[in-house]
Amino acid sequence: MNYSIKENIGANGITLQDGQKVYDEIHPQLKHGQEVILDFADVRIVASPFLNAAVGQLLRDISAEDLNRYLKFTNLPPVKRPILKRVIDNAKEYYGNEQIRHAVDATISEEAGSNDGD
Amino acid sequence: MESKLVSISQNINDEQRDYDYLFDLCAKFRSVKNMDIVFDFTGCRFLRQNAVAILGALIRLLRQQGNTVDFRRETIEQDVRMNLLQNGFLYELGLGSSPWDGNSIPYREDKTMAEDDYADYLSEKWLGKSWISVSSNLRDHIVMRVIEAYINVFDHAQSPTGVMTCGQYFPKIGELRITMVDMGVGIPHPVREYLKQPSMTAEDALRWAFAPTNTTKDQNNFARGNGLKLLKSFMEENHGKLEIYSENGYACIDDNENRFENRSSSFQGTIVQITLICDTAHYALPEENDYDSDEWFF
Repeated sequence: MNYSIKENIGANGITLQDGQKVYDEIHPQLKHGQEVILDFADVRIVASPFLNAAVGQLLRDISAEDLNRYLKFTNLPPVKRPILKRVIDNAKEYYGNEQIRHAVDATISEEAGSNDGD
Repeated sequence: MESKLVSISQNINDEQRDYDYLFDLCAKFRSVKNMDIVFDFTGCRFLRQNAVAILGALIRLLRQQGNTVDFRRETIEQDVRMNLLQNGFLYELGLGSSPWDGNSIPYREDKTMAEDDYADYLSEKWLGKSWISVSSNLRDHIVMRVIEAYINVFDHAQSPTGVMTCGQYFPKIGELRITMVDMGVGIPHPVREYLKQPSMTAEDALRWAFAPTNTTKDQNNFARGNGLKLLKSFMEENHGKLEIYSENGYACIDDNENRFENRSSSFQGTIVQITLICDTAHYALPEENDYDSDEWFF
């Protein structure tokens, strides 16, 4: 799937709402192991809320390995790359910690459950 | 209605002492309701962009609270008046004729987010003038970082006045400044709430907000909090200066230092002041091979 930001969103990708529209389109594809190419051709301005919603939140339930394999970025000029990198690193930190938190919570619950049973 | 006089009786620059003067003014008048308020500018020979944006925000708030606001026009010095006319401040507030295109950077108010229009404003009205010669790449690079501060207002600040922006060009020192003002909840308050640390100082809360791995989340459970870090890294890499005033906290980020302070004066809201140098030879643009495009998620 080739997803053009310009055609679907416009010349700027700034808001979280616009990022969510992108996410809603690409997440099901990626979840099923389909390749997605996010095309930034003719996109002038991108901002972190847009990329948080479009790309960052993919890490909530798709592994970094799968995203590396299936999600490609094209026509992304160097000035936009630090923003994408920052968003991905931040999301990895955040959702990574969330997974750890959930795992800890689950372990505590299980232990509490087995203690109840003793 | 009872009337009240607001006296702007000195020149207002954009140093800390000038902010103290403006913060005292805001603290004194921001809760006034249902009065006739008259501004007097006797003794004021210039107002910088920060004063224009802060006065605009205060006046909007006062009007929202049932006050009428007017200026004693005869007390406004000719240079100040021309600047306030040309940058559209008086027109925007219904106190003067329509602005014209000149050497000032327009004053603007955004009650709701108009991100595409704001990107054009930064590109054309702030960076697109003859005082700075930027390539389209560098222009977009700057706009993409500065607009993060604008989006933050609508994402986080809950400002009753939206955001007021004004810019200024300083030809003698070759600098370009822009100031954004909101009268919302500020930065320290939500950080304290998020961390459940009600006694955290404003200085520590600002320091926390700028730390690279600190992230809050919003109601949709998104990771967020990148805007300040992106602005910070841009300033450090390109000899710019980012100053933030929020509550009694102050942050100053440039290529020499990251300074956080608790101050004696306080502002309910957030002020972001950005200073850029006009000599574009000192800017560092990211390069093609800075990031490995096949390994984004590792």
